[in-house]
Amino acid sequence: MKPKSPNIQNAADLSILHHALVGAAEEMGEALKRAAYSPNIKERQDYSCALFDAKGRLLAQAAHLPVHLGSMPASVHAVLAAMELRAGEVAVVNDPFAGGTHLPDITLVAPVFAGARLLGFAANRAHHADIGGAAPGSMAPQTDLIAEGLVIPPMLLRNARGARTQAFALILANTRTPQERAGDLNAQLAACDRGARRLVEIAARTGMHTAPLFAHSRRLMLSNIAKLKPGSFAALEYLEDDGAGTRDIAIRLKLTVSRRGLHFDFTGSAPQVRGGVNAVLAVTQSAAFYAALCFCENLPPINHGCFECIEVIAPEGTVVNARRPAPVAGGNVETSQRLVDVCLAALSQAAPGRAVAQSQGTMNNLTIGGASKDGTAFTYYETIAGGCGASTQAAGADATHSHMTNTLNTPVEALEHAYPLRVEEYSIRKGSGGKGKHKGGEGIVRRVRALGDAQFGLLSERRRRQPAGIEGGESGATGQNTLVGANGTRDDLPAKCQGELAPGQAIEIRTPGGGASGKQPTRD
Amino acid sequence: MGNRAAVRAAALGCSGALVGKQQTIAAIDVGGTFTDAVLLRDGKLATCKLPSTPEDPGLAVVQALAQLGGADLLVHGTTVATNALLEHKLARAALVTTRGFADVLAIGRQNRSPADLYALNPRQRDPLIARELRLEVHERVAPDGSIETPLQASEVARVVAQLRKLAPQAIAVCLLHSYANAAHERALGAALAELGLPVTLSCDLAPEFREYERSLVCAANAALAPRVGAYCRGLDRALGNTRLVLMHSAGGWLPAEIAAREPVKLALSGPAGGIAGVRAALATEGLAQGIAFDVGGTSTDVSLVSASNPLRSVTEISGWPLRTPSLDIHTIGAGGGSIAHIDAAGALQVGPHSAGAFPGPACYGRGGTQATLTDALVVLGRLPAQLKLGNQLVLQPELAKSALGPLALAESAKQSKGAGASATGALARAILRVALAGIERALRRVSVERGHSVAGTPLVPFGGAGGLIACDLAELIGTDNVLVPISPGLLCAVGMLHTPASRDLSRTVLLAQSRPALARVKSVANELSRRAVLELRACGLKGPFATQASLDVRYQGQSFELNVPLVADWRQRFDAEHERQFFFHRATAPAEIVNVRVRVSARHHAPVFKFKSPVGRPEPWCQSSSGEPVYAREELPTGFALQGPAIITELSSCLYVKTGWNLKVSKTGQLLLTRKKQMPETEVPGVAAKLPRQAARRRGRQ
Repeated sequence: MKPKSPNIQNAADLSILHHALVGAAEEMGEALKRAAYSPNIKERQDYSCALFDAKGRLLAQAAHLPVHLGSMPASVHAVLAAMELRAGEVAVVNDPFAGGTHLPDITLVAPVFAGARLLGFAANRAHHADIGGAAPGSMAPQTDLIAEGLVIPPMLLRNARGARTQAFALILANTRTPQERAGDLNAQLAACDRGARRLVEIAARTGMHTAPLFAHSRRLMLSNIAKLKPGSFAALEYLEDDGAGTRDIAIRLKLTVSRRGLHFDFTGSAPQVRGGVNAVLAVTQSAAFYAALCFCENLPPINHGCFECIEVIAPEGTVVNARRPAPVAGGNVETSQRLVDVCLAALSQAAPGRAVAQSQGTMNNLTIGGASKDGTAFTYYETIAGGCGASTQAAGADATHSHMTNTLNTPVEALEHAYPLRVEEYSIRKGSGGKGKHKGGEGIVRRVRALGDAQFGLLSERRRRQPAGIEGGESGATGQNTLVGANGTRDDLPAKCQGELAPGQAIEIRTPGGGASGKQPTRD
Repeated sequence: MGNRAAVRAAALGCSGALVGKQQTIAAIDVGGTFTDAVLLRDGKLATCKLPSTPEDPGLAVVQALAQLGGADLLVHGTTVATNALLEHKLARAALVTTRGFADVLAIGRQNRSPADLYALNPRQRDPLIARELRLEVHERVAPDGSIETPLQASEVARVVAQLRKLAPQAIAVCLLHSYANAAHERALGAALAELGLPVTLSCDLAPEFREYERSLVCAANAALAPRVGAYCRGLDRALGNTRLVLMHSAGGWLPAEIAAREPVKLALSGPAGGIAGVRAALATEGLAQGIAFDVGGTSTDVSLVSASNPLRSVTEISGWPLRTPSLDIHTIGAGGGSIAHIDAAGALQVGPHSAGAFPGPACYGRGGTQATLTDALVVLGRLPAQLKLGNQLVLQPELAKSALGPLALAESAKQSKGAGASATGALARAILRVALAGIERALRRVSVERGHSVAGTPLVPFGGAGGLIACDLAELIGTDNVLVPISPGLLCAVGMLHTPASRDLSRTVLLAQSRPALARVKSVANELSRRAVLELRACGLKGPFATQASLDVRYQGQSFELNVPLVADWRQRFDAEHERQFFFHRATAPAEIVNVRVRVSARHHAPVFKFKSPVGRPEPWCQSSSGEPVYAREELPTGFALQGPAIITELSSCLYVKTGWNLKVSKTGQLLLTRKKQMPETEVPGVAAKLPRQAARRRGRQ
């Protein structure tokens, strides 16, 4: 054979190892999705899978939702801090203050061995439809963590002999839907095993030299950051309220861009609040990582290397790094969106011409529960898309989920078949996007009528403060929640509330529009 | 979701078939570059390959058929519908829908494309029909089919008048829950007939629940109808006495009349032929399963092929998830034309950019200057310089080398050792390794998704470049067998000869499992089957027809379905399939029947090819630049065997037999490649030298 140029081989090895590891993470994801039971995992794809090296550094991740991006490494580190895992064992955790995010997100971590050598870890996270607590779905507004559901500190779910531990039974005993939970947890175990098997194969085939892999992502990330203007940039945003009496909750950021990387400092943000909109550090990190990736012209392979040059400072006891026992259910779904707004606002100051207007900045969480005609209980949960912000080049997309989420809707025909509900309107909310040179995306109007008695819960934001435009573009319209009577009366509902629906009453949600970019050209 | 496995007609080749034995059948597949034609006469295959005529694809079809001497029946695979969707060359269509839901097409499923997950400004989804052409009518049907708001005659008249004013070229009608009660859609359809435009009713085309997907497939169908309809009718006229039928995405053919009415079913018309060809090739060797593997210029198609002919319910084109039953073909964005480059941080990447069909790889000599996978294969000597692709294109290895040169030099300069030719060779091997890693990753994911294991499943390469990298890919996925069919470059066309007429119909029923439910399901199946037979007869096809009915079933509360045959023990089969695919089942949980499906297919003579083995011992007709012997496939007799490395060339494709692989010519003329058992674990090319060191290191640790 002819002599080889080592550099070319290295350049190829790098690419091949990346393909192999991401492929293995994707395979885990497919295995999890296939074996899972609940629609939330199968259809809405609210899960992530990842592989880590022996030091707990992220090798590759298959994520559908950016909100999982930075928070998986935290789970692995929490497990490693709590116990030493042996071959065959699998740990479980959902404690938001020990590696979790909010309680429904359950993470499994399995060690991977080649003989006696620890190669790394296979981990995955799935959003479970119920993990106990005061309300079905474990997502309703509460004022303490214990009311939100079962807290699982890092513990074994499977022992070295491959048997389920007592923790498995404990989890099932604390949920309203034990059979579904068992199915989903088994799927998560199967996904860990598949990831572990592939990691062993990849290590045998490639030798798995991870240092160049991390260095490559880090270099790419830094080359992206090098295109930003160095300096310090401040941004400030407010959450409207926590649903428990606190209003205008500040999220303050000082971003420093340097040749070494990005430094996000949230010092000065509001103290944690009574209502469940507190974010744990992992969620805040995810938002910062997501925002940084949005500004990458060449998206790096996502691994430990890209995060090496991103530092996140968030003082403990604040709404962006809450302390036990703060309730956190809404931290993931609402506060995370506001964190993105703050991060993007700061980053755009460092990237002239690449600013984007704000998107709807909420997930419009709606829960309706009650009894079906035959007396069985039903719980329906959905998030509703809205307008995206415009860029300096193009209008914002209409009726699309933005930033930290990207879950699918439930089709109207499926919903009406399954629940005693009628959807009367599902349309683009005309005129809700900000006006300007490039329009903000339009929000959605969704009106759902109850056919029988029902209870509802609403968790939404951007009902008072508009998604801002840029460069003279108008802001998007705020969202509106309305109770529509059987006779057509209309009463405003607060952004975060719970209540009863009589037969014939409807909830109408008008989701916020996106901000516009640039002044609207004046007509002659 | 829900994949679908319809059972293929078991008894083929009975007498009384719709196409008499005395008739000649031709099949023509139109691709981007070439139009491939095959004709079966007296068990012998005549072939013809002409350049495609993209401005009017029918020209090459008529020409190719004339060259083959004409036929009674022409099975045609076309990209007319696919390209119209890809290039958005769609008619100005209108949509009529229930009040409150005109924006369903614009809202979609609310998500952004996964490619836009980190986009600052995600793209707007394309609603396919503009807002001013989406009309609402005041009416409402409940999920159980009862009418909550009747459709008034005045409403119908208003919409017809409005459409007259808007003057669209075609109309789609999709009302909420119309699968449960089609009365309102039918009333609109009857009234709209007076406009004299193509009208697509969702209760006819796709009566399945989930309003976005149903609206979308109807909108796409309406928007395709004028162009595809004109193409089918024009070609039918031009063919005179030859009867024209078209391959549809689900792997059968439809009479031109039905295809013109339901053009969206032609979205995967061409690739469907390839799958039929692979299945036939596997069956000839007594194999039930294989991986079809087609490497094209810009993309690679892979599909797990088995006797059960698995279908999937959604095909995505141009970002539109089209709900129409299709063969399960997965496209990877890497092909022979994929361009290699070293990224900003020093990793070698192959794709996603492609040199496309024009200028194509540098070695084609049509002005391409960037290094592609094909150029790397030329540098490695796998594509001999003496070869003329499709008898026309002369390869220019020096152009391939100069395309790789700058990349190789840039890298070797940093290292200052290993320059010139050796650096180019190393780069070529590196490009091949990276391209294979990408294909392997996609193939593994697809197989996990579908609940199959790729290890041990034979690989069946076809298309131009599949054979050049098949051995490498087989090693990577852990399979020891590669099967190369006859005329792999014409496999799509050959496969069409194996394909029967078939009509797939379905309807959503959403019934909880019960005795009355089953009676209802059976009557729906009978109704669908009667309709399909009537339609096929109306097009002049004679029976007998075989019907397979199946059900999409789920456990109550789930949101995805599995397809099982409609048989007495369908419930047990569902549990078993759930166990196979998802590793658990719930025998006591209530099940729900979501959709009823039928496939009605005409009896079909499976063509029998007689392989006329050449005589004499074949000699290599040349040597490749790296010293491998090059054989012409038409000279290889039955039973002939050789050991790699070697290259086998034929008119439309090229096969590389790697070191460590044996080749044997089967009785039917197909090439069977087997990996030698005693070989140590071989790895991707280029790292073999490194392995022993690593293995030793591993052993040292134990």
